Amino acid sequence: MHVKKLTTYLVQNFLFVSNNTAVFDSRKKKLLILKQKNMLKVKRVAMKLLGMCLLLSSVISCQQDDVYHQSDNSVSEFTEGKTSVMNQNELMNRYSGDNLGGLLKNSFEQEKSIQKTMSSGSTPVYIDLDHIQVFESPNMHAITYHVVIGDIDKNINGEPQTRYNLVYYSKDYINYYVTLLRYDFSTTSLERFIQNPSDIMSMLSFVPLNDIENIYDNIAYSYSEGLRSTTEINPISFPQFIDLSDCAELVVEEGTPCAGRAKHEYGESCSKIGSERATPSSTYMDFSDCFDSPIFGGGGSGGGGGSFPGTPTPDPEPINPIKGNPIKKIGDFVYVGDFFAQINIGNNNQNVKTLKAIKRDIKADLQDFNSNLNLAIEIGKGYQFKTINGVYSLSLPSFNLQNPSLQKPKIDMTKARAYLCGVFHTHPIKLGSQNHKHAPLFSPADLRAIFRFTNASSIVSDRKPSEAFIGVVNKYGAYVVMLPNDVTQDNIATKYEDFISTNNNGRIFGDEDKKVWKEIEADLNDKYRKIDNSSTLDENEKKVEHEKTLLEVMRDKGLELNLYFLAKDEGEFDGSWQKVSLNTYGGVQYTTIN
Amino acid sequence: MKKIFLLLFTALFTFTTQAQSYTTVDRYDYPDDIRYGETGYYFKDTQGYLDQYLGNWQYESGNLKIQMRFVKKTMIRYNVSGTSKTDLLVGGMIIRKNNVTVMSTIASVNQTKDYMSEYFIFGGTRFNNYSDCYNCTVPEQRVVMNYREPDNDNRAFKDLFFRIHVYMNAQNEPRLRLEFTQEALQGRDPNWYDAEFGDTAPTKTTLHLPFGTYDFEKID
Repeated sequence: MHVKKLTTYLVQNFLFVSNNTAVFDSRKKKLLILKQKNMLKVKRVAMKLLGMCLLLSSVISCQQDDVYHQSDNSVSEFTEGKTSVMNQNELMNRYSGDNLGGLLKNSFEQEKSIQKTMSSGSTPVYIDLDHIQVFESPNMHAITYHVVIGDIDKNINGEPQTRYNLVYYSKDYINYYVTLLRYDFSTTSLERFIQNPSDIMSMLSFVPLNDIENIYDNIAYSYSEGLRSTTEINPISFPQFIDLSDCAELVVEEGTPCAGRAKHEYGESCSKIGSERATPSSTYMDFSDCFDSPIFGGGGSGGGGGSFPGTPTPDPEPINPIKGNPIKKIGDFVYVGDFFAQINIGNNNQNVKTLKAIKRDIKADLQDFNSNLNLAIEIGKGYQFKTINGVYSLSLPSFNLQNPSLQKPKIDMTKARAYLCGVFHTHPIKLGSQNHKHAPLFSPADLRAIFRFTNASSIVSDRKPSEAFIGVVNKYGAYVVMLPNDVTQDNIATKYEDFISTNNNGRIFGDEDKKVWKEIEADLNDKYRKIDNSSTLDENEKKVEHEKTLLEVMRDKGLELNLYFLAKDEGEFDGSWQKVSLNTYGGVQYTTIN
Repeated sequence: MKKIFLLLFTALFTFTTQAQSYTTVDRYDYPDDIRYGETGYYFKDTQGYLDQYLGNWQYESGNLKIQMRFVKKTMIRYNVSGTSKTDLLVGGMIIRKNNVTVMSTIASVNQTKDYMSEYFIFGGTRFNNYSDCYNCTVPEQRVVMNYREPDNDNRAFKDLFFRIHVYMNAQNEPRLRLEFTQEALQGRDPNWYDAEFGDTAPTKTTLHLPFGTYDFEKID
């Protein structure tokens, strides 16, 4: 049976190698088949098969049997699999009754709540639980988390020099192998890697994990232990995949650009969300031939387990699969037989990062604003957000905007400090001493104010224009306008030249003297009033009409701003953000943001 | 060569603009499925609603004298996708204090501008009837006018507005009521500037037209 399995595998492998053509699956994804060895290897494999058959009964152990237990259809498992993005709650709900669910619960929970970040000694570990890449096929399963360890060193491109991914990998949805992959970007860029995914073997290493159940403890301890072995003689402390490059076979599936006109690649700023996002390439690594690799201690005439570092560690029949099997040495990958890698850099959509931070960190303020909509004045606060230990979060203190009076009931947003990321304020139902109706959505003054917060300065030297926001809480819920993710300090002046000017300090601001703002004022005022005064539209229809009006006016005047909405949800603001946009038929569509 | 090119471009642009056809709708009573300012439409004052404001008006109280003139103009509005046309009121003012002219913008009314915002007083947005109309009297309508003063360097004084409406007094004489309140500042403090942001202290910190309510008489 075993020999038959081998033969079948070899024949398939031979055919696979002989063809050496691009294979397209039903979704027409481009597939690159890369060989790390030349065609002569096929002959060597055939010779080995003969030798191995002869030595099979006396040499090959149960453990080595497992090297060949991988499915003959592993490559098809890889090519037919699908990747989706989930957050931790969705992931745990999906697999709540399965081994993975139990494994994740044991790994991530402490005192019955999911940890998001943890400092262990001097090693803070952050695991992004909002943007998890989940690869699924019938007999191949990979969960990939974006991990940040300690401070982020930047390479010459200003990108993180090292990126970590925590991967849970299984071939049967029962036993999971856990590893912390380490991508080295010290001499390359993410863009180059996206264009040349076959470079993965030269840049990939991993942090050997330990038998520690809590994953944060495990990563912090294992990482520190790994650094401890760094010396001047041995500056590279983590095992590298390059050591298996002579025997490993790779199958690479290229990623897809985002659905926008610009076709941004993975890693580039893009406004698209959900299934329209760019996807990274994925790599299937077959280590079955590495059993003979010198690194494993084996020779051409027969296998046999080698000594350090190749000795496989995990038990073939784990006693408690719930704990998972940490990868401790390079040989463990050979034991497993294959692996899956698909880089996860987290969600680089700045708009989404800001929205998530708003909902997580200033929800109490949104609730407070909502409870004060009966006041006849606007109230508001300014906020700054920063990346702290890998998490884009509120940086205290918030900035209280001066309370206006009934005679001057509107907030002056130009009084908010320019280093802030943005302002949230109320649009109450009635305004001023005369109690007249207040348009629920953004005024032209609100829209102009966003440019104030796009400026970099000595306080915020790395400010991205797409971080700036203006928020309003009204009777429908919370709305936010933001600049698209692809707006940079270099292109903002050109993209918005009709709307902004630059002051003597080189700071950008929305210039009310620009003609377009007068027209926007007239358009919005006129249409807003028509909606508010309508006796035929119900409240929900008025909400949609307000949104449609704002989007149409901005579109017509070329003012590119993204509009987002969070329903008040009985005053709790517990739901999900939605992107509000116009569809091709001129109606309003809502896209939920995960 | 550059001048010739510019001339040709302007001519082409003008020709193109004038060649565009517009569907005429009423300035205030247009169909619900189109938006004010929508490309390809001419929002025309077909009912002559703005005519009641046309002409010269004056106000006098104590040492303050104000003369105001309104005309009706048809302006092109520019969108990304094309243009629309609209009728609007354009105005100017002379303000005298203690018989000294402190501001005069009436002459601008007779000038031809490419953009409405180049006029010192312009507008035409109408508040329709609704139950909580601000300071409304019969008829319950007001027209909102954009207002700015010349030589202004104060951001709090940009984007001002006042409301007007015409009524008949007890002697059946037309009066134009102008309401100019602190609301026009839209929350901005005329004395505030952000030095950190690069603002410099404004030189103009008071307006020539004081906040208040004015009843103008019709001159002609």
